[in-house]
Amino acid sequence: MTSFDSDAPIGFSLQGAVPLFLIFFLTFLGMAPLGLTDYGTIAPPLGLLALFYWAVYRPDLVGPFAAFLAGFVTDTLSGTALGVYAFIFVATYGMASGQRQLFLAHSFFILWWGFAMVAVFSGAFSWFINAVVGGAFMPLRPVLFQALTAVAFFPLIAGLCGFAQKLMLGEK
Amino acid sequence: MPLALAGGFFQRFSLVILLFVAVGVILFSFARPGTGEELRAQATDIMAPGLSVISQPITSVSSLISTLANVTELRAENERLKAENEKLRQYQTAAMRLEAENKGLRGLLKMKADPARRVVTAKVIADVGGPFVRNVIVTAGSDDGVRSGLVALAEGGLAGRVISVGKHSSRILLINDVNARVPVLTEVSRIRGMIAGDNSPELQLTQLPPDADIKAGDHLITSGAGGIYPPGLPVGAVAISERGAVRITPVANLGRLEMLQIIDPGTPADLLSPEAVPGAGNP
Repeated sequence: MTSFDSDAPIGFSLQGAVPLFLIFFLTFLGMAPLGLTDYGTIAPPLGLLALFYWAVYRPDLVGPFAAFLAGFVTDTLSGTALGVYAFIFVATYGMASGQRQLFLAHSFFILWWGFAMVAVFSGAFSWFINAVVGGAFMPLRPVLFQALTAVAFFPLIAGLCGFAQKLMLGEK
Repeated sequence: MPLALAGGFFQRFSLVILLFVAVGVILFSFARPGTGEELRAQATDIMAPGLSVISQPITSVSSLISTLANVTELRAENERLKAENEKLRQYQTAAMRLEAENKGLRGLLKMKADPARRVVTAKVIADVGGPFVRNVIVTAGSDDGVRSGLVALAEGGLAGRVISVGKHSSRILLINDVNARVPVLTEVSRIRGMIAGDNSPELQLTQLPPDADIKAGDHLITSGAGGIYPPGLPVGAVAISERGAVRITPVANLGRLEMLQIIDPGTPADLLSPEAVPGAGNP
């Protein structure tokens, strides 16, 4: 993996917009009706998966503001309480970019495990906030299945982002 | 180097600030839900074209796969459709006889005809919500005559209600959402109750009279109570599990919606003219 200084200032370029484009594209894609019965109930926020990847590998190209905006877009489209996914996306960015040295130094499975922790946090936080806003606790099973679906999808999304990183950004 | 250090500090500082901003947005949407929904409707309107573009190829592929899968079942499907067609012909004969009888009775009572309903057909471009809310976004908005509160049908059954409207898109709250309540009655025995969603594919039936005799297979239609849903719309059928739990299977396949019909019942009108009611219209 190419090393870089995440604190160095970054100039704007089209290639630099690739991670942002992928995050927003996957956010929209995750909400498209797939024609699978009841898939919408457990569909994971695909933008979160992509954000986690880019926060580890290229946090310089996806800043906390972009994470907030992607989360807010997810909030807006999903119909859940505004601000929930914005918080989750920003917290995910912080966790992923803060632990990137650990993830980069180990195999993909450690990265996958790290994302699993994020999926659990995301499910628990959104469940809690929606319980407070709605005034009642929702069943946990759909939340659990959504988290499991997100973990299952992560290798696919990470592969897509890795391919984009190689192709568009010219990095190994 | 100092610039790099400043950049890293700025990023960490902005991370903390944005977390607080997100918490602020949560509290604001909790305190002012109406303002939040207006903002959501406008934002959805802006993103609707993007959703539509992305959903189109997916819907096409999904439809193609479904068609290919159905090829192997064409013969059985053909037989089933022939039998259904025969049954529907019998229903049609009965319906025409009942319509004529109804028309005659309305004439005797001097009842005004129900106002004609306008229908807007809209494509579902996003199935959103996840485990906490069940709603969909469709490609029809205020420019198409859609307004908040209109009901949406799918496959001839009730699917939901419009809860927010943009110029070109609308959000439909499905009847299996935990916040959805639909006054219903059984089609034959006319027992009244309330349908409640719990974010699962099936619905709950609540607020039944103590001596209500509900049987598996009973069909439920909207009762019109409360004036939110027009009366007579098919909702679902009663299913009783092995443990005796009563659940309602919706007519509309809520987990696989592709097109919705949004109906506008028009301006409510009095059903009875003054001549039909003794003393009515007199001071």
